Amino acid sequence: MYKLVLCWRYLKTRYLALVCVVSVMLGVATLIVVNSVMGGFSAKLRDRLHGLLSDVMIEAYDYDGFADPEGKMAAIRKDPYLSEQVEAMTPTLEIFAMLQFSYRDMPITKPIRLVGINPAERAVVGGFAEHLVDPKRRTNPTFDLDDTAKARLEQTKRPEPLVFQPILKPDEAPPPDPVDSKPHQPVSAILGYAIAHFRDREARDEDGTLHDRRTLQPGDEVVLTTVSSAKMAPVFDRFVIADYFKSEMSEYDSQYVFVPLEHLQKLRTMEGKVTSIQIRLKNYDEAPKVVARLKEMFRRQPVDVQTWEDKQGNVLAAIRTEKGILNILLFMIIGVAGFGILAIFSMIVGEKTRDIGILKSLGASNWGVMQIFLGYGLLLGVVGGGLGSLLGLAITANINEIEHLLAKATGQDIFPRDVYYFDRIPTDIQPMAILLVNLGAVGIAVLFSILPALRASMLHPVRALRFE
Amino acid sequence: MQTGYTDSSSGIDSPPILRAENVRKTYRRNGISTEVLKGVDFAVHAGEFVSIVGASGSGKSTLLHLMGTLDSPDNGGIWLGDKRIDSLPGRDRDRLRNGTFGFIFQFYHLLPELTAVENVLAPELVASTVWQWPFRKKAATKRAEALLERMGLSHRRHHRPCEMSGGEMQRTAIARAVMTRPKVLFADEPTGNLDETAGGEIMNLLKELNRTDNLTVLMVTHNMEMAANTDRMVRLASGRIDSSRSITPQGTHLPRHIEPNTMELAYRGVG
Repeated sequence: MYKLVLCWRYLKTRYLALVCVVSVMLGVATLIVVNSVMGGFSAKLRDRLHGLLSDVMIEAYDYDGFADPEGKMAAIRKDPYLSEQVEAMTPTLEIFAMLQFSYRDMPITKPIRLVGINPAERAVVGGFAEHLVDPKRRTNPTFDLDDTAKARLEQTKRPEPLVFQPILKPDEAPPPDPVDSKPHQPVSAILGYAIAHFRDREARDEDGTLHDRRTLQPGDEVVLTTVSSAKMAPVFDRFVIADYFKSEMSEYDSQYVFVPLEHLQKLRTMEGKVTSIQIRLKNYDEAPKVVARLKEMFRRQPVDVQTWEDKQGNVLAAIRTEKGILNILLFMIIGVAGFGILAIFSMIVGEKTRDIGILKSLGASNWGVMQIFLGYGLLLGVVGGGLGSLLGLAITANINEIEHLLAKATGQDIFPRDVYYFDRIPTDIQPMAILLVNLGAVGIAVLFSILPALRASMLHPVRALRFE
Repeated sequence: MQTGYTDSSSGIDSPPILRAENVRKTYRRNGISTEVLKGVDFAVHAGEFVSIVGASGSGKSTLLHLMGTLDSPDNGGIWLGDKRIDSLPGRDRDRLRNGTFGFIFQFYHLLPELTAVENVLAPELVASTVWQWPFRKKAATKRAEALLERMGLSHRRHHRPCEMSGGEMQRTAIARAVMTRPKVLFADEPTGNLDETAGGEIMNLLKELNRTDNLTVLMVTHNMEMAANTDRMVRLASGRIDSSRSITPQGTHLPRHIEPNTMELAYRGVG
């Protein structure tokens, strides 16, 4: 019992030990904040990647795609196992392209990734409709123009060319009537949000929020140029913007342009061919089995089958590696705190030498004395870890407000929103990570108290009592 | 194991409660050996109040520490009744110091983080586990408070050592030493750091404990006047017992109040 009493009293009365508590607390708080923010980024990135990529993909090896996607999907539906697992499927056709438009009479050209989709089917697979900016379109995904876009299209439409009637001689036969051709009706496209907008660093609200400047509006026309599959020649067409796609993933929002699948197939002379089939599963845990089954089913076809995690393996592995390295580096802070504990405990043992002698004269065993200092280390770790957890959670909960304050105070953009297109710093508080950080902190505190505790326990009672 | 040992120097025929036989102790430091005890034979009987006197460096405190199992002799042995205690395992020696022996020191050695009553409770805290303490706490606290009252320190029970006088601290240390009802109390210069009045009070307390509780007291002191107030005085000189004898006739009850001068004369072989 004396160990507990003395541990507690030492903690309350030795202000030097508060240095240890503070260093453990700061280490734990930093680790929790960094883990939560990294976890938030990671979770958001995973969500976005997963949302955009669907669970499983059957992909062609090249941009020439593969034929008969309907037949393949029918085969999947017929398979007893796959039909149980697959929730929805949709074919897509993806190709690189150039986008051109005019902004303030300046021609602008951007490289993009052109994706041909069937919007209703793509929405069922997931990761499309929910990212459309127009709320109405989220429930009923379509390429149709709304009234505003139609009005703008009409407004900006170039006038019909004047047709001059030749003056005929009296005996001259009238020219044949011109071929009755409809004017070209541009097909709609959904543009990545960052293609049609840019972040204006000069335009900020009072709270520091950045504004987007729009370069293209629904109803504006753009020209998309890509390559034909059969003729190996460039092909292009005019498209009118129907809506924006805003996934808050810079890579996607700045590159992706969605157009109707059939139109892109025609444009590229790839009728009946696609580059991938996106599959949504009922239970993602079954993905490895589904992939194996699909590989078996299409082993003679020029396709590759992979999960979204396989496809984005490098990105996810990079995040995991970054998180791991950051954790190791930050844990060194607690390691430094551990050395602080070692130094301060050694001082306290020196200071408490006589008390150790007294305790031994009262019958305290060597192990008992050692337990006092191990318990003291444990208590410092627990208190430091507990306070650090509270501080870390408080910072994590208010990270955006703190970022605004720091940005205001320093004049520096601490979290560049235009890089990620996140409005707020994402956080994901993981109880297991907090538990592990605390266990690590307590473990280090106890580990670094072993040496001073051992020294205390080995003190000879008589020499300890005579210590000046 | 030796039994039936009697110490003729004490003048008492009953078996001693605690005895040292041919105890030798050498300290080594920086390659220099200093033999502090050179074969000491010494016994204390139950209920006796014995003082050990001698010049500085004569080995008084070393003998006290050896007999109290705070240290181990290089040669010879220490017996508690019929049981040799110097070679006991560490845990058993710890138990002896906790329950059978009590210690008081010149510099009080109270734990500064604890209040007076907590200091008195310290041996009970050492003896109890976390699970036992809730069941023992009430009775132990009652006894600790009673002891403090007996020492005249009721009003100081929630004071820390730094808030008490030397005499009060030493009285607290005495209360702590007798908390577990020990058989033998070792007092290492208990009045050495106190003025005459406070020292007298401490001596009276020790005598009272010896008389009323039949507590065996072994005291090291420089103060001949204090030593004269004990049953028997043992003189150590150069690591050996120089003279040791009871000032009363053999086997009779031990006188408690002898004039110091008479004592000193007796030890010099005059009386």
